[in-house]
Amino acid sequence: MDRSDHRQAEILDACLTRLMSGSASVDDLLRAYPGDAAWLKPLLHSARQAQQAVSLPAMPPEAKLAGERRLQRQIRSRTPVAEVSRGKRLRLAFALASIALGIALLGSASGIAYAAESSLPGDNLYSIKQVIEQAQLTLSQTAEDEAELLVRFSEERLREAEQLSANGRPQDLPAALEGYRQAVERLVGLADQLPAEEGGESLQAIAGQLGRQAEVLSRIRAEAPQAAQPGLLQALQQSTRNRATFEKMLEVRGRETGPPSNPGRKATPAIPETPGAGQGQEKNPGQDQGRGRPPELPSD
Amino acid sequence: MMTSVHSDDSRLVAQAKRGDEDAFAELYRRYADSIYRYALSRSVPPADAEDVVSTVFLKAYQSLPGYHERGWPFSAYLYRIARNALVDLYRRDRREILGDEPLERPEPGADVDNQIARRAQLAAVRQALAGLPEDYQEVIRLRLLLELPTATVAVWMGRKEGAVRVLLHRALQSLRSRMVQDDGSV
Repeated sequence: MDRSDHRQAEILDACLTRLMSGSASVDDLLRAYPGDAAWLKPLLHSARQAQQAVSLPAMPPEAKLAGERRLQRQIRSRTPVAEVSRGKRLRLAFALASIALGIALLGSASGIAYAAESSLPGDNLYSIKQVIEQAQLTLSQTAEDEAELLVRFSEERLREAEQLSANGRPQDLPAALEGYRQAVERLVGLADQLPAEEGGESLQAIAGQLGRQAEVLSRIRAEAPQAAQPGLLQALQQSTRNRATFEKMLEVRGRETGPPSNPGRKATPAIPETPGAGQGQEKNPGQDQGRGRPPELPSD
Repeated sequence: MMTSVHSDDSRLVAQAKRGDEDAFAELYRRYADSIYRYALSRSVPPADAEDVVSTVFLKAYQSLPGYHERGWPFSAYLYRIARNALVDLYRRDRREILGDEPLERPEPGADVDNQIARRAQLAAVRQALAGLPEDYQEVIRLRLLLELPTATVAVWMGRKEGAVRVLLHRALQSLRSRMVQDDGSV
């Protein structure tokens, strides 16, 4: 880009400002810049044509008012901003009370929480493990903290699925896979609050983790009995779809300030039709995603 | 002007953070139109564009406690949420965001042949627009279609003002050459 291009860009921008404000017509502007009329005229006409081709009416007043009222209702039905921390404390208190009740009912306090941690779906202590996880999510203060927990819980669900499969308990696999589905869906819901590339739980890092989780699911699927195949295929498809979503969001954000996406970046792989096929073809997916740094979203 | 609006937004955001619903309603009234028109510029049908506005403001409200300005105006924050919401919409509906559906209404009483020719010409312009690289499309949407000042476009896109002017210049050159290429009569 040389100096003359910069000069043209500035003239064009100044002319568009006047044109859009209605303070000058195209002819006025061409008269004001006679030496530039040859290149300016077609660009101003193109700008005009673009504006005429895409009509963007204002939001209808009744829709705007209805939207405002709907928003107020939604806000009031949720925890008010200023009381978020109090609400969280209440939910935590409830969660902890549930844990205490569970422990009391089981009759022995010692080692139960620890034992619950390694329990599997279908085990007596598994509900305690779920309550503890829920309490941790309730305590999380930022989207990134919550995302970190959800990544950990999704990996834990896969570890459970792997162990259930190895222990010959395919009947309990659906519960682990449903837990995985819920964790990943919630993670996707947080995506727009996460940074693109910085920090531990960025879109880029999560896309990579979902890629690795897809590998684990493929491995479990390769060894699982026929009855467990549909659930595993569904989980695998979901993981792949969500990874593609994270990559798409990353791409959209990256396009705003950075250079074009890395042409060498690997695309989200297709799910193999047969269990076990395609394993080991992708190492560290999501790590080769070099691109420009978009502006940070405000975060804690 | 932008600075005073910006500082006024900051005051409203601070009040909304303290639970002042009226302050947040004022921010809604201030920016609902921009978000709505931005959604329309991405070929989202009007009814869905209204949903996008609701989603954007609800998400913005929910994430207010974590929002820290750091030179990042609230309007730019809304824009970022809107972009992500549109990606979600695209993912859910597999919608072609950059479609070329005609948005203009027929002019009553005008010559039918002229109307047809006019529509064809506008459709060609939309097609040429849709074929541009994404950052060219985005600068045209924000600067020309939404008629935002260059300074605002720069903040929203995370670029310097000079870079936005250059991007727009290139985008219009590219649009022009596409239109000439598609139809010599343009």
